[in-house]
Amino acid sequence: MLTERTDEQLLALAMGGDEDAFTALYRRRQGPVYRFALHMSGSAQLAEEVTQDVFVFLAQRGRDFDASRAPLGAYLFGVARNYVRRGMERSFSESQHTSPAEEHADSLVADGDAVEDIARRQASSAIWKAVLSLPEHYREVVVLCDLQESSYADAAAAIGCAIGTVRSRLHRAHEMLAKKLRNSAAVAPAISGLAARCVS
Amino acid sequence: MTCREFAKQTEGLTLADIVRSADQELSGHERECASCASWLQQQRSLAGALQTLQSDTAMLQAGASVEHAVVRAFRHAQPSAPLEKLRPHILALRWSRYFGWGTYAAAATALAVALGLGAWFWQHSENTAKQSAQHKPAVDQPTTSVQDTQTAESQQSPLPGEPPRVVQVHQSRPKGASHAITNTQSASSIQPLAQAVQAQDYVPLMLCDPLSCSGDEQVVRMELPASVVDASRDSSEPLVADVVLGEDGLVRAIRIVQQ
Repeated sequence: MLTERTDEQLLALAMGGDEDAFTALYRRRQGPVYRFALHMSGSAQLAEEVTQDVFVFLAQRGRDFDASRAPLGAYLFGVARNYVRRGMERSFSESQHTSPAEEHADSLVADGDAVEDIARRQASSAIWKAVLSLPEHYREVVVLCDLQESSYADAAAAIGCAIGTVRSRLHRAHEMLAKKLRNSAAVAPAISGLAARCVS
Repeated sequence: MTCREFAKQTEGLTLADIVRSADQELSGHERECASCASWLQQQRSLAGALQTLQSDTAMLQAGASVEHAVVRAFRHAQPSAPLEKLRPHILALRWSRYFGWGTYAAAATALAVALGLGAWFWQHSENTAKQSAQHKPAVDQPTTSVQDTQTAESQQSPLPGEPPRVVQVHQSRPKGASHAITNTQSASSIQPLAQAVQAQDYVPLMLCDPLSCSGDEQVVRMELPASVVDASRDSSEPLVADVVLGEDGLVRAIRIVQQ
């Protein structure tokens, strides 16, 4: 069964011409890649383009993948990161960060009480805006480590830096996020009572 | 636990780890230090907020069109993809590209043009050869024209009033002289002609130097009057001989086959 195989095994089969293996690998990995691009850019259109580009790249250059350097998931995030960067540079003049939460308001999951849903959507929207307003190298560690739940090692492999760098960037990014969210009415109740860290 | 130790320990944890953490020491310090407790609470709140965003977007994924495009790209990128896995109608579509009516028409036109050009070149080269043979002046030798067909009769006579009769025209060269008497004679390949001719009992009738003998030769078997060889013999007596003719019509060598 293809579903029981690892990413690396599926890629090896795909590079041998097995279309089913490639499709299985795509279905397993396209979600995280798409969401990474979406969280990074705030644009569903760009996220789709990036997802397509990443897997077309994998189809063409999958033989270059070296499993000893990083897991395939981290490798795909690394490729996606480059495409996102390129796409955002291209589309920067066309549309500077449109409000992602408003653009994707319908796609955000809503269940339960209507008032609660609205509050939740507003909170999500505010958090997303705060994430998107972070500088790129802080944003990518938040997206990778906090939203994609990658380990520090995988994030470091995807970004191409040391684990310590990821850790310090994430620490700084959290401080910046907390500061931004403190001023947001939608999230303020959750983030209220922020205090400077005591290091005595 | 001091605040510094607390900071060092939490530094290695992700937000999710901090939220899930049930470390006794961390909990103990949280109770002791209001500042660290506040910071920890902030991290938990931030983790909760990010988790909200994460869970709200967890189901988002690329559309079906992306999958189609990616699989199509995969097929193009994998030339070794097994053809037998493709459905028959896809295979038919793929092959039909090479067998459209336009391709048939183009192939037929190319074939007709090639045939026409080939015929024209063949005819042109033949005419040129005939013309050059006709325009060559005879030197020291009676004019001898060689017909290419076996039924052709020669009109030239080595002796006046006694026309020689062409018995047979050999397209092949004398044995052992085949490489020496070829269509494309080079200067160096002319030299063996005399030896080859000698080996076949041919008597050379002219000096073959690279300038005069660098051309095509033919061997013609013909009947000659016996008086050509021996004046004392009767001229009505036939004599069969093989004559090596150059493309200029001059006789290079002769061999008496039958006295």
